[in-house]
Amino acid sequence: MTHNTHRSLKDDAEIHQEKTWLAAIAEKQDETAFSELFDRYAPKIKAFCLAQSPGSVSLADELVQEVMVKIWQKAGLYKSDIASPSTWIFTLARNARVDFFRKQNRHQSDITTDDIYEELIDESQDLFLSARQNQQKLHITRALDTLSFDQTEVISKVYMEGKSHSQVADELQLPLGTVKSRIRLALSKLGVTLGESL
Amino acid sequence: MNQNNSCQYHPDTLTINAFAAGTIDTAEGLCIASHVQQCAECKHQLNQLETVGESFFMQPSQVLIAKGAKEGALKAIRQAKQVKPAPRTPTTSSSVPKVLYKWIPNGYDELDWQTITREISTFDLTKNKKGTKVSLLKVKAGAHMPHHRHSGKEITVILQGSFSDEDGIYSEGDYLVRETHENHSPIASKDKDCICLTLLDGPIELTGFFSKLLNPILRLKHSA
Repeated sequence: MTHNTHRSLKDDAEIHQEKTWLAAIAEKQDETAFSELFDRYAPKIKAFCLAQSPGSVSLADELVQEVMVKIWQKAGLYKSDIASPSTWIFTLARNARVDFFRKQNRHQSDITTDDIYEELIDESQDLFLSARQNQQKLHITRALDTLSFDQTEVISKVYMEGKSHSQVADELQLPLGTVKSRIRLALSKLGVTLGESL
Repeated sequence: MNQNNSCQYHPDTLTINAFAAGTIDTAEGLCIASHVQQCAECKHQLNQLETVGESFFMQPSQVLIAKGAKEGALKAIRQAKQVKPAPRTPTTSSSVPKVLYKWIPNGYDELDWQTITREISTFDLTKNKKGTKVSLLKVKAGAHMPHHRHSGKEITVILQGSFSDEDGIYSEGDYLVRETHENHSPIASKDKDCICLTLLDGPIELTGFFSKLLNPILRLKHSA
């Protein structure tokens, strides 16, 4: 996989545009803004679902609709000074996908993603929060290009394919410890570990 | 509970990574969320780990959207109710994390606690069919918890008060993981009843002489 091609940094204008659309949905139930966001995000959401369950095309279409409706419903809760639109939409897609596959797994508890992922945003009283987060995002995006193939592979399996660390280990036929240290190393390259020893 | 930065014990990076990716069981997720909500450091790390996920999510793809999908979505949103931002809830003295309001709407005192001994009571939040159970545990101030041994993984998040064991002192917000068959004997601090959120993968076994008598009761409760 080449890293440079698949993650173009969105420029500020584009992010600003998406924020405007979300605000228009929240304030004026603007269907045109919704339609623009649909064009941008529906393919991402579908690819995200297919990554976990390749071949389940109708399921993926269903998820697209569900997440797009969530965007419409929750646009008023989106805090533009805290998260970028794409990060926010990623979390909505993640939650919808978890709940989707959770329903099929009878061993899972009855706790939904709404129960656990709400209210977990970084709300420190920091005037420069938004700027700081943009910086970090830029740093992460750049650093992703410096990961080795092996590191990119495990991280992608976790986030895109929705696999637990032990599922990744099984699939790659690696000891769990190897997978874990690979992920830890990758995350520390991205600067997102909390100063733990590796 | 108000956010504080004094938590000493946190979930490790890999746990938050799995949480950010949504690959963790939601019962465990509830414990992680109860900690993260109180811990500025982990909240920040979670946001960063979600940004990593977003980078993969935003990769260009060749996926095509079904014909009529957008029309279908437009139809759906016309019937969907928008969620209004909730008014800021006034800060109370309650130390219940927001993620637990669903189970503890009116504070700890209003719960229907089940008495285990004179000093220990529990309140069950939820459990799944695999036998993972999430409960609250209340230990009277200064009380010794019975010696116990885990038959599975145990997660503890301290919601109120503090306790100590052979390894250290743990206070509000701290997140602790014990693996199978570790033996320990915590004591609640003297100043306040200690309330913890606990996740148990298997039933606890008490190892003290008198406590052994309680084992069948606890096991019964676990499978109830």
